[in-house]
Amino acid sequence: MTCDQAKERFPELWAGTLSPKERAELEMHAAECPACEMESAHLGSLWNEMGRLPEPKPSAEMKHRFLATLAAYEMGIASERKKAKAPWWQFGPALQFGLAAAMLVVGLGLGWVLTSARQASPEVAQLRGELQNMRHLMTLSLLQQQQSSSDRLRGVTYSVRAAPEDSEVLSALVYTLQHDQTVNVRLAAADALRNFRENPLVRRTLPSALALEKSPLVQVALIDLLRDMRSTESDAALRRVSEDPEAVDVVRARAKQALEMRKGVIE
Amino acid sequence: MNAAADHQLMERVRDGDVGQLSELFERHSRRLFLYFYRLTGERGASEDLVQEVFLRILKYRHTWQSGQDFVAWMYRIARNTWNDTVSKRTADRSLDDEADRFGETIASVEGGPVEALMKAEKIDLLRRALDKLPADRRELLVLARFQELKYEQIAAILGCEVGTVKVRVFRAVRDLGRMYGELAGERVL
Repeated sequence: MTCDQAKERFPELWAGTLSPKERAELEMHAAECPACEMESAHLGSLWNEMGRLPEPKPSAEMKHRFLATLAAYEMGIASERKKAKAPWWQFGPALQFGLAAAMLVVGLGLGWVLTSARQASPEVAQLRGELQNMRHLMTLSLLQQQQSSSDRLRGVTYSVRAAPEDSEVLSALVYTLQHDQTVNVRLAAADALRNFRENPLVRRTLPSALALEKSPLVQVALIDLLRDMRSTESDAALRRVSEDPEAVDVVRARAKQALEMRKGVIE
Repeated sequence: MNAAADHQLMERVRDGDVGQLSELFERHSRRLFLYFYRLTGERGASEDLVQEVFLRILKYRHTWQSGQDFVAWMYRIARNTWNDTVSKRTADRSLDDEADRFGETIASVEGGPVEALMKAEKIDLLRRALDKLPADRRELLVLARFQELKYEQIAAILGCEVGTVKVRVFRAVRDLGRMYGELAGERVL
């Protein structure tokens, strides 16, 4: 046994995972080589010392947070399944007719109430405008200035609800998608931008966002989004990822699949 | 850890019974937390990274194949998660974190006050030597020494040969010894 071969086995000797035969061979070498024997003893004591480093426990909060996320995810899946199981056209014709008639009446009524309220009360219209502005400011503030990822995540959610199609909010969302350091926030931004995929700013920036993205999770979300956008730029971005040797296998396969689906649609 | 049980649980998660992931979280979150804690030295960041790993497992569950080693697969995801975040981390560890870690070290050693302090200083020195190692060597030591993974598993996680892992582990310990010696010398001076 050479010194190099002996040294390769030192860590297994310290960990006690060598077979009796391997151990005997190593001990035989150490008996003939004082330098190896000394080095093994010195580094072995360091190896043992490492076992004394304290092992802190994670907080109970970590588990609670994960279980809450998982429960929300399960609920989401369950509601998707429910929707898939009972599509509206499976109800009886009488019920369909009844629902349609009821919705027509409610729609007409609501339209009348809202129109007359708007005409009758300029104060209400002003208040509504102020509320809209406040939501707009709050959304931007949450997206741009918050250090906490959960606040930024909240900003993304608000952006869809509070200020759809607002160019400032859309720019903030695109910036978040390209630069936020937390994967979950970027993922939420990608999902939020799906609602605005026809917007020129979004169409222009999403292909480059895919090129910049390093997280496979967000890459997959962007690939799905680009697949549905149907433009030459999005096809080019998908092609680049499908041929990128550094991309994760799943991501490359997803991009190829997206291109094939696009090709199928064109043909 | 029972690899067969992990395998069965992950199969059920992949096939749609995602609630079973809570059991896998129960079984592995602590060791994953320690993996990230040894790499970052920060509790909060380590907890966030553990969450992220399990969310990725959820998202990528369909890519898991029967017969795969679940632990090796989970650590590959953990490494990717770490690599994704490490380039974006700007702030160094705070002084509070450092104080917390030394406090933890003192609390973990036994013996009289003087003896405990000396032991704690030795362990603290070792911890600082580990921190000073290049990231790839530190990670290798964390996998081999603290996570107690088999060399075959480490090879699968890192995507290299078992022989290469053995050589690299020895070199990492040797570098740690040098770093420890340098720091001990600084302290004496």
